[in-house]
Amino acid sequence: MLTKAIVEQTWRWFLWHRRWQLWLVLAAALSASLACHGLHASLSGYALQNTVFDRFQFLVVYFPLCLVATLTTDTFRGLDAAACGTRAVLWGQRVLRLLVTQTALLIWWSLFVLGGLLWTHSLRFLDLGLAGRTVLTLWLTQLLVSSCAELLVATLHSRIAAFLITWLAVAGLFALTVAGVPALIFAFATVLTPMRAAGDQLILLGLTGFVVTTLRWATAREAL
Amino acid sequence: MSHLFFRRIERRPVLLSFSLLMLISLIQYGQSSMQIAKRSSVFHDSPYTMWLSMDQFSFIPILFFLLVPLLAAIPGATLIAKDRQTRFTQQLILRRGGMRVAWGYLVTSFLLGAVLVGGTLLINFFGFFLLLPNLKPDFFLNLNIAVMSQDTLWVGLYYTHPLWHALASILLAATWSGLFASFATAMAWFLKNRFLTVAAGLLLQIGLMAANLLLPLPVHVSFVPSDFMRESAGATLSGAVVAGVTVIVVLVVAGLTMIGGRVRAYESNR
Repeated sequence: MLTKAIVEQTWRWFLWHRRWQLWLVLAAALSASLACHGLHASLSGYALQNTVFDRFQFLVVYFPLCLVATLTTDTFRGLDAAACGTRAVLWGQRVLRLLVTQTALLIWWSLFVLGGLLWTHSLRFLDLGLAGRTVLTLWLTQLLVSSCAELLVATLHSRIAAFLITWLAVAGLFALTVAGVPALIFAFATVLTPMRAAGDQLILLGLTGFVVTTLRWATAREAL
Repeated sequence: MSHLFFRRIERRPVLLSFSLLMLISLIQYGQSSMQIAKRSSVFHDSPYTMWLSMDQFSFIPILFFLLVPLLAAIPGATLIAKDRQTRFTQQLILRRGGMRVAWGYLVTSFLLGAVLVGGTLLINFFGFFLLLPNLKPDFFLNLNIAVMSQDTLWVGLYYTHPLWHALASILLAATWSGLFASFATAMAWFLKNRFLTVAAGLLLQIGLMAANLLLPLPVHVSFVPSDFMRESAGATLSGAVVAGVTVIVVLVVAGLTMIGGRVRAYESNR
């Protein structure tokens, strides 16, 4: 019953706040236009995949926008917890809001990129199966990064500190990837690495599940 | 009037920003020290070729200059956002007037941002004098760092008076850090969300990066602050473009502050 109420409330929140939707569309358009920059029909499938899923663009534009979207929408009412008699409602709201925001951002981003690929006549060179799997990995990565940021907010009570720590951690992993060490967060940016072969999506799912469970613990102990 | 704002500066956000800036700067210092220690001869290197703003072979300077808009804005933007939330700004406006309060916050924020980033860069730069001899860079011996007129402003000054060039670069970086902090402070008059206020400078930089890629200037001259805040960038630079972007951002910040100050003053007096 409580879960149903949380789902309904989050969905209504998402539909009601048109400003957030506009913000997500703008963020997705900005990031997608950068991803599509330099696309042309003469690119090979491999080069096309690397251009669209360029890891530096994701570090500098996409992930910061993801984090900003997650952290600006991180608001809850202590009244809800009092009315339901449990803080599980706050945790549920947080997780669902994160899920909705990140999924919407990714859907808009994918649509804009698809538009860019069609516009440049390069869609036929893209391996759609591989691109689909990469988008799935990206979605799971987004969820992991955002849930880590949420966990830090619940622990540190500072959205700025959460943003900085999460982004610095992602930047550190980026530096590792550049140095040749495969990092899970940037697994989507490479067509095939030992990490991807080992089932990066499962690892990401497991880690996200762990962080979300820890978030429940942190929300239960959070001073409202 | 300005004493009032300086007295109200909170120590924690200032320390957080400064610690993070210093942490990134120290990582670059440590990395460079290890590189210097590994080399058999150090006499081609000098502080002018190895310090944070000149380091072209590491990811750390890129990260530093990407994060500057956020870290420089934290102390000033947090102060005004908190004051707006507690309605302290309304009390101030009623006693001192909207414009004076708006400019007070703006100047405080600008100085805080400039001092934090400028201070960190100065410490990093002078720290390298502890490791390396004070040698003037040579166009041929230091060809690897590729300092030329396309990617460095006032390149003649770099080879003749490198200390002045480095100090001028720090001054430019400090000015732009102050501008980012001022932009976040000016946006605070319109935004209710404290996190979004602090991140406004970062979003401005991301927007400029996107604009630079999608609407390039002739010869692909970069107008992204993270490029021209460095002493030598990995992009084409032009003094006129830097001056133009600076003037535009100054005008935008001044405009936002004036409108914000007047609107809030009107609200307070109503």
